[in-house]
Amino acid sequence: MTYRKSFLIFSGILVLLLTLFSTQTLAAFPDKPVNYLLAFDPGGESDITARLQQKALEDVLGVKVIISYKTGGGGASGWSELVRSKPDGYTIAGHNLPHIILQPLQRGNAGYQTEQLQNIYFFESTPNILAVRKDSPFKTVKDLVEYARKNPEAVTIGGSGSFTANHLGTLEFQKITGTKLTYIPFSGSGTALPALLGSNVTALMTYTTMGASYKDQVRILAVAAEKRSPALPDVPTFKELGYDYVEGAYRGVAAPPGTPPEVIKALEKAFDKVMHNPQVIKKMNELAFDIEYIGAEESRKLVEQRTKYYKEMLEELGLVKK
Amino acid sequence: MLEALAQVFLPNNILLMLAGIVGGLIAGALPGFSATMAVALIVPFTFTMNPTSGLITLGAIYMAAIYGGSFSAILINTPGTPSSIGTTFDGYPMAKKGKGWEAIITATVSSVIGGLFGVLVLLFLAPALAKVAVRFGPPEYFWAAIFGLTIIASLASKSLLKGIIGGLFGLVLGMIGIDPVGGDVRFTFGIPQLQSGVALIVALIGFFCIPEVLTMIKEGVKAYDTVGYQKQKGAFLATTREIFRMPGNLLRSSVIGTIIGIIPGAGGNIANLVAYNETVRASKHPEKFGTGIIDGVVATETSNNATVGGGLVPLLTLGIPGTPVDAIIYGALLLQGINPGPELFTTRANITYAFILSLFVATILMMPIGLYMGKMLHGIVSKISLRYLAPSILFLAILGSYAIRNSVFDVAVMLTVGLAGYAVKELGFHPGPITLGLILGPMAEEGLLQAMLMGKALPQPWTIFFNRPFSQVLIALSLISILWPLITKIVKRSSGKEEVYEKY
Amino acid sequence: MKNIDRKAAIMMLAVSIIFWAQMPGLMNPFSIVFPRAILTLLTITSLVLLVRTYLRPKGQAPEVAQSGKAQEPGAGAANAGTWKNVIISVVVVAVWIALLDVVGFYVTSVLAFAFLAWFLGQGVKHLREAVTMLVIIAAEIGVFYVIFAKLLLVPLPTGVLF
Repeated sequence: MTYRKSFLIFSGILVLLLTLFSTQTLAAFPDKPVNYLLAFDPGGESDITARLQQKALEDVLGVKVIISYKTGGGGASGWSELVRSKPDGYTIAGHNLPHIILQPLQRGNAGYQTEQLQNIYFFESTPNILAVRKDSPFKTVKDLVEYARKNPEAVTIGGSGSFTANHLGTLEFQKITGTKLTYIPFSGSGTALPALLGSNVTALMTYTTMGASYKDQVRILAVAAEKRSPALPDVPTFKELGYDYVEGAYRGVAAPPGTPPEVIKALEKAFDKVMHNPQVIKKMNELAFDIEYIGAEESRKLVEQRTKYYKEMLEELGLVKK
Repeated sequence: MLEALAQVFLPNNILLMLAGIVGGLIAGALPGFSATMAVALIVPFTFTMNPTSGLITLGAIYMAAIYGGSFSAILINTPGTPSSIGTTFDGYPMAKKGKGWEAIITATVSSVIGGLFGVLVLLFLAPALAKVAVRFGPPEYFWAAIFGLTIIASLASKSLLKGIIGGLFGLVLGMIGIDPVGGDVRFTFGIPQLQSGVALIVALIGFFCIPEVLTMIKEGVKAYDTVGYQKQKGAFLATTREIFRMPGNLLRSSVIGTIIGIIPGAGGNIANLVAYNETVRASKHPEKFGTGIIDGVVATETSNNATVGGGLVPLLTLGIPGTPVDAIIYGALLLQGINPGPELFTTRANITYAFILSLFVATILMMPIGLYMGKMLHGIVSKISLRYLAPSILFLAILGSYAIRNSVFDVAVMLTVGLAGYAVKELGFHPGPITLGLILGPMAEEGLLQAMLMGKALPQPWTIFFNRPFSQVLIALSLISILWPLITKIVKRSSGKEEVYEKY
Repeated sequence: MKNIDRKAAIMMLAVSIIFWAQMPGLMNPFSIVFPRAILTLLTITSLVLLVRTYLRPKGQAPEVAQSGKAQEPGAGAANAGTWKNVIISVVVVAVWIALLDVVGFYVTSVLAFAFLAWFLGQGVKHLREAVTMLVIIAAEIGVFYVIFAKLLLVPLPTGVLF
């Protein structure tokens, strides 16, 4: 075979393959493995959720689901990768509220814009909780608030990062209670915990999942959700205690901008089924995730509504970057 | 306990352990593949196993990868993992002197000793030592970082001033990206991808690996050839005997590694440099370090494997990861339905003891496998010609810097840092202080700002830095470290020895 | 050797200027404290180093670059040619990286590796040698490709090819 001949044959096959792939995309979704991109490291909350869903999702979609990671920048690397990916539904990524709203607002150019992420589904939330050490003198939220009112800035609240649900939640809580607290950001929920156990902070503003994992070592004063968390049935909500304070993080999946509506619909349906799978529900409850059933359209509305809320909040603090 | 031991010796668990050791060794030995990455890549596969088997696999990979990092440190002057940075200082000069095989033996024996020490501490002292982990608050992290930076003095063998400048350069590079406390994006020069900063592995390849390859290419020959090298019979016994002639070094480095492992967030990357530094200081012949003596390799490789057991102390007792790798193991445990923390020693004691014992067994098995593999690698690197060696190293550098975060941008950063690394090397900067600055910068900044915030609760905010016992100990250590040259000078003068001190 | 020190000082001064220029963009007081301190120190120490090169005309100890590579007599003559090798290799690596996303990981790597091996070994003598070389390279990279892309499911860059 001459070189030219082989080249021709080779490119012929290539063209054939390419057309095959592109026509099949239109035919029926999905017919090849779906790449489920995560913006956070293995072992983190996003990864754990995705791993729990993986098997059920494969069963529903009838194709393999490959979980891959692109981490860094508090999730921004993964999401800017997503918005540059091919909008065919074969690349989806886990995304988080409020990260995807706050990063573009506060950083200016975060590599993606909130609206670029096509919401498919929000399937879980982890509301904020306020936790203190087991031997802390503060037995209730009221104890802590009263002490904080008398001693401005003396109550230190540890949490995960700046411009996160923990951080903004603490600011919101201050406003509601008329206190002045000192928020100390740590590089993650995991690193904030030793600070509490070692009495380096008075309390933690963290997520329900942390509260459930360390329930032997900390006392949870209240949870910032509309209703009590199934994993922490004895812990009152802030609302029950008379504080109108609801805040937390949501996790879901999104597709690149320009993904066809019917593909989004198919994925939405698939995730809806997955989240009704009793196995998945059981595991998620064990790990103290609150399961949510927020479809594509509702997700968009949720993001819109939260964007408005956070924007006002950041503007009040003078932290919006143009 | 016996039941746990029986679990470890189940055939499939032993097989998984062996596979883990081999995989860990390879990952560790390849420049650009750290223990963290090896464990992260394997975690998904452990979800299909039962918890005990999964943990045994991960533990074996972890222990072996930390040890495997010494191979590339010795053979091509590139730390295979951040835990072997210090191994390049003396391991590579040994290889250049034709003593690469001795260096590998030294690394092997030291790693096994350090690994066993850490695991023994984990087995017997875990609950008692766990309290150390939570006593470390922001002020302590700040002072620990300052103490760590004083090591520059012994890393910068030629010029202290340039060592300090190099350290500051590393600190500056570490500031690129999102700042750890304020959450702002800094020094990204308008490039959104730089939000994720310069990853440590990427910088290590850039500062160690690329300059070495470019030097090889420029000189047209490999940095060393071992053509004339003859296999000595009994090298293993002779070297081992020599290692055991320094029990002080072994004990000190094991203790340093274990303690630094226990402190959450600090791991082998810091431990190996601290152990190296302390060994230089305790030595009767500090001037010989950096020329290829086994003391340095013993220190770094003992301490980094000791961090494995140490890092698991807070993880298994409190559910707090001691090193970055432990953070991944933490997630794996959660997914297996195990809550890391006190229950591991009560209701789940079987799994926990099987895991700890398996680490012990894996550390011992690591010796023959490691020696075999080390010999093979030593043979390959010394025999292969430059035309294959240089592109092979470059290929691994690209693959490794890509796989750390699956980002082509990181690969471009690696090359950029590599060119800068080549330039600064030509200008007489040592990569040691630079990487030290990169590692400790975020720790220092976080500690400083968090402590300042904590101080708001006190009448005199700044006292937070000085009124805590652990901080005071660290301040004292830093002062001793800074004043050490002066102290030795005085001691030497009083003892009447004449020695020219030309370090400064 | 003072020359090396002077160049080093100038390089680090340039680094600090570049980073100082980025400072005004920072708004959050927390983000400023640490960089300001570090950049101040870097600037001062670099200036001290620079001044010292003028005060102490001859360095006390000759500063050999840390690699410890011995400057062998006679090596200087070939220097021009070898610098060329370094530059060409760096360019090849840059192209290699740039094409990862365009062509694909495996194909780009094999081609770039083969070029470097050919170039660093001063060409090949026989066709046979070229074929063996290509087979070795394709296999070496193939092993890593299979391990990463197929076993560990790392999404290696793909472009038109793989």
